[in-house]
Amino acid sequence: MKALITGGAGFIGSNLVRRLLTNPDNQVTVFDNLSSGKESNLPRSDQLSLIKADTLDLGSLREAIRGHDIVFHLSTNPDTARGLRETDLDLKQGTIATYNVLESMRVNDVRRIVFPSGSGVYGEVGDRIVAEDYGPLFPISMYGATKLAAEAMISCFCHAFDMRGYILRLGNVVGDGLTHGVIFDFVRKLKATKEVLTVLGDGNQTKPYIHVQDAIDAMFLVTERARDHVNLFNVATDDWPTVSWIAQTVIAEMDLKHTKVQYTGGDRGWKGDVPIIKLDTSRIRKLGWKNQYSSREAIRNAIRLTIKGNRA
Amino acid sequence: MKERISGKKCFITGGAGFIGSYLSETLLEQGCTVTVYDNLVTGRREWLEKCAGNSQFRFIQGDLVDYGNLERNMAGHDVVWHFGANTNMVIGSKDPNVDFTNGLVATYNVLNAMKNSNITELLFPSSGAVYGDIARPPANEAYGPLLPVSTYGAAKLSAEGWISTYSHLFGIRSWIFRFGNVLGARMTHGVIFDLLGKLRSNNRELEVLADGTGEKNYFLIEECIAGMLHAYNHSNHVGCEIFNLGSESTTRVSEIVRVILEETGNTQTRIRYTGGERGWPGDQPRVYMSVEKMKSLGWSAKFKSDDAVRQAVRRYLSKA
Repeated sequence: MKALITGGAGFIGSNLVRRLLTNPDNQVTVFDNLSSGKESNLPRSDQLSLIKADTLDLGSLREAIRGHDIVFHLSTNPDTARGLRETDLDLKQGTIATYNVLESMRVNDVRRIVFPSGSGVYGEVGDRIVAEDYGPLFPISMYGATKLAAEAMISCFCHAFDMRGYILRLGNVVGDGLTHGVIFDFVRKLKATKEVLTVLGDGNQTKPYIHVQDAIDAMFLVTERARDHVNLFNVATDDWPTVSWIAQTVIAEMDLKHTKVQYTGGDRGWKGDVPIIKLDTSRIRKLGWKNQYSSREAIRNAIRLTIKGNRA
Repeated sequence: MKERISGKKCFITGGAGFIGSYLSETLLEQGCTVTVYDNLVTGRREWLEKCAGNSQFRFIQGDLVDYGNLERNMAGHDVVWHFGANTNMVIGSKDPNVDFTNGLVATYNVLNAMKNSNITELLFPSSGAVYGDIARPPANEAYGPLLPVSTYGAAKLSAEGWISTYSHLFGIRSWIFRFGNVLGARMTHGVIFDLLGKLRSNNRELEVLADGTGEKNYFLIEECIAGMLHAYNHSNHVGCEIFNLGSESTTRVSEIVRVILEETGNTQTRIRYTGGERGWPGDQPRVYMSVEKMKSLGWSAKFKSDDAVRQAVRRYLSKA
C-alpha cells in the first residue's frame, strides 16, 4: 500500500508512520510543513519519504498525492487557543486544507481518505452520551467548526466522485510524542515549578481519552471492514476521567508530595472548551474494534512517557 | 401590531439576487432600513428597482471576499441577512478551488465583520442539501448524521458550523433556515427554470434528467420570506437555532414536467428521461423535511408544493 500522510511528522502522524512501516510492503509519504511536526519524530527508513510543504499549497499537494492508494489527512491547526486570536487559522489549516486534499485526490484518482474528526463537532450536549447520528451539530469552537466543515466536504466528494471516506470522531488522543494538551501542559508546568499546579476551569471537565495505538487500530480496521461511501465512527473509551483526576495522577507519577492544585474556576478551561463529552462507541465496536487501554490507563501511560521526555 | 423587525437596520449580502431582492422589498415595507451589498455577479440592479426610490434604501456594489470594504459598510447595522453565496458550486468546473474557497471565505468574512462591528443578529439561508441521502425521513432539524452529497450542501453545512461557533464565542444570535426549493419569477436555476429553457429551444422533445421519480418540497418566495420573518419575530432562542423552511408536501419531477407542458400548451412534446436515480453527481433524489418546528412557532406555508410549482411556472411564463 502506498500511503500519504498529511501532518505525518506530528503526534498521531509519526505514530501512524511507525505502524505502517512494520509492513515491508507499505510505502509511506509524509507531507508536513513542520510547523508543529518535527522531522526528528520520524524514523529512518527506505520505505519513507518526507515532503516539506504546506497543505495550502495546492500545486505541491496535487503533485505529492499522485500515485498513492490512500491518504491519511491528519494535518490541522493543533493550537486551539491560537485559533481564537487568529481566527482564520482553523479556516485555512482545517477547512481549506481539507478541500485541497480532496481536490488533489480527485484529479489524481486517489480514492480513499482517512480523516480524524473530533468530538468537537457535537458542541455542548451536556451529560448525554452521543452517537454518530446525533443532531443538530452546534460546534462551539473554531476547531469543532472546522472539523464539521471538513466532514461535510469529505462526504460530498465521496458521493460525487465515488471515493471512500473514513471519518473517525476521536476522543482526546494521547500516547508517545504528545505535543500539546492537558497532560503535556501539566508535566511541563510541574517540571518548571513543583509547588503549585494551576488548572484551567474547576477540574470537573470530563472527556473520553484514547491511546494513540487504539486510534490507529481503529483507522486500519475501518478501512478494511467499513463498506459505505462515507463511514462515520465515534472512536473512544468508555471511561471519562476528570481533569482533576489527571492533575492528581500527574502529581503522583512525578512523585510530588506537596504540590498544591489551584483551580482558576468556571466550568470550562477556555472559551470554546466543551466541559463534558461522552461518546457512544457501539458502532465501531460492532465492527470488531476494542480499545486495549482505558482512558485512565492511556493517560497514565502518556504521563509516564511525557515525564521521560517521549522516545528519549 | 409592531413586529420586532420594524425599524431595524438590515444589511443584506447578496441582496440583488433572487431571494435577496424580494427580501429587500419586504423589509422596506416592514419599516426597516435596508443596505444591499452585492457584487452583481448573479444579482441584478433591475430587481431592486422597487427599492431604489426609497430613502431608507442603499445599494453598495461590493464583494464579500473584500473584507475591508465589507466591514466598513456593515458597521452600524442591527441585523445581517447573509444571502450572498457563490451559486456556481459545481465541482469539476475549471477552477473549483476559487469557487469553493471563496464561498467559505465569504461566510467567514461576514462573521468576522459582525464580530468586529458588534452586530449580534444573523439570518442565514442553509438548505435541505445538508441532510444528504435521508435514511430515516422526514428529517427534522435534529436529524443526523449530516452527510451532504453535493458541494452545495457541504458548503452550507460548513457555514452552519462556523455560524454556530461564532454565535457561541462572540454572542451572536443566529437563525439558520434549511430551505426547500424556493420558487419565483426571478429564479435563476433549478428544475423549473431549466425545463422551461429547454422547451423554448426545442418543444418537440423535452429531455429530463434522471428518471422523473425525484421528489422534493417546493415553496414560493413570498412564503419563504414570511416564514423567516415569522421566526425572527417569534423565536425566543439564544445562540444558534435551525429551522426547516418549506411547504408541507412534496412534488415529483414527473408532475413538474406535466404541469410545465400543460401550462405552456405543449401537448405533443415527447418526454425523454435520461434515466438513473440522480440527475447529476451530488443530486439528492428525494428530500423529505419535517416542518413541524416552524408549525409549532405558529407558521406554515399556505401553498401545497404542487400548487407552488404551478404558480411559479405561471409567474415565470408571464414575466418572459
